[in-house]
Amino acid sequence: MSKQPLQVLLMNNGPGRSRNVWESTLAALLLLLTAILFWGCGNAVGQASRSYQLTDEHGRAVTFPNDYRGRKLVVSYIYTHCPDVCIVTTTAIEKVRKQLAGKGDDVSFVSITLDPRRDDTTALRQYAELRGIDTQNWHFLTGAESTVDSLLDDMGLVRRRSFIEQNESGRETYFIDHDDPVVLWDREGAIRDRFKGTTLNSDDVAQAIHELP
Amino acid sequence: MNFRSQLARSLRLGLPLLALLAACGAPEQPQGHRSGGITITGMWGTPGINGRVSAAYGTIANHGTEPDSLIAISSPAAPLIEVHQMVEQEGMLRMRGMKWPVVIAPGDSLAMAPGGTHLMLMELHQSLQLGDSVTLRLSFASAGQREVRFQIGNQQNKPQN
Ligand SMILES: [Cu+2]
Repeated sequence: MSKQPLQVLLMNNGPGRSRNVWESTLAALLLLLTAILFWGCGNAVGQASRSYQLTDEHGRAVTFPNDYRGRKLVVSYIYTHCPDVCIVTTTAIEKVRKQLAGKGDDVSFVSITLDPRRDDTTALRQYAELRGIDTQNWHFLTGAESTVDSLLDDMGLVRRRSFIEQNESGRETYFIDHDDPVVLWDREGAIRDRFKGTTLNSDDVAQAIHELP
Repeated sequence: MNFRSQLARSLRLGLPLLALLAACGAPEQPQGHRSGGITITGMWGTPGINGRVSAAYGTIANHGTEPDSLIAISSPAAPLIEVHQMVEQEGMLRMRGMKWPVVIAPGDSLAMAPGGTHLMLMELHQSLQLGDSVTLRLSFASAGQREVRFQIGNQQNKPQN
């Protein structure tokens, strides 16, 4: 994330550290530079540096995020073996979507799998269908494991497989510990806001979507 | 950690204990009282895909004067059911299996809600859809076997039993 240099800089200037004039001036200049960079980006907190070839829940090819340019985008991360957290997030997003009803024609919702190994198109379609989700403007994306993994890495998604077991038929069972961000992208593909899925307040998110340029 | 072996171990330890408790408890207390301590309310579950998982929520309360323990849970819907807790660690949300038996102190309850504690139904025999009914058989050390039937629903729209 582009916020990091600022934090590092502030930490280096912590109490108890001997400073001279040059050091202070340099720090001030760097701060100014960071501020200018932030200003120049118009409050964006990140941007996808490349595009990814993915597939939606109906098996249609999707180039992420390019295919969503021109639309406001709400991105979340789920996997279909996730019993609790992902469903809390998905349910909260559905609430946002219903809240936007009528005013959300320019908004797309995207849930990207954290588990491309097991989440194929069918699993994602079932996941949506079982929850009565209308997939008209909400896509559930998967893809080649390497593609999805690099997307998740690029997006800074912290995750780790846990409780790995083999069952009688040799099939692997595991869950994924993961972060639960819900991220708002503007029409230009710049990342503007980030919420926590499990504590999502639908009013706040609907408002933030409304305010997106 | 291996949940299945933990479950098997718990059962090995728990079942003789249950037999022992039943043997010494039965003559002293009338049936109604003995099972009156535990109530299970507000149960509902989330949809789940065949072979995958589903979560169930609700409250198991101990109104008795002695601690009681949840020893095992079984269901025709899934071969493996555990009590899980969500914890936040190292910036990640993780599921942690609660050790069997799950002890409920007198006057206390096991409250299960999304994002907190859940009953985890694993390797579902078939998909659970909105409106489907699920039966669980919960075994308590003192209260004995309890059967609950509940519906699959959405969080915003929790069906009551
Ligand atoms: Cu669980």
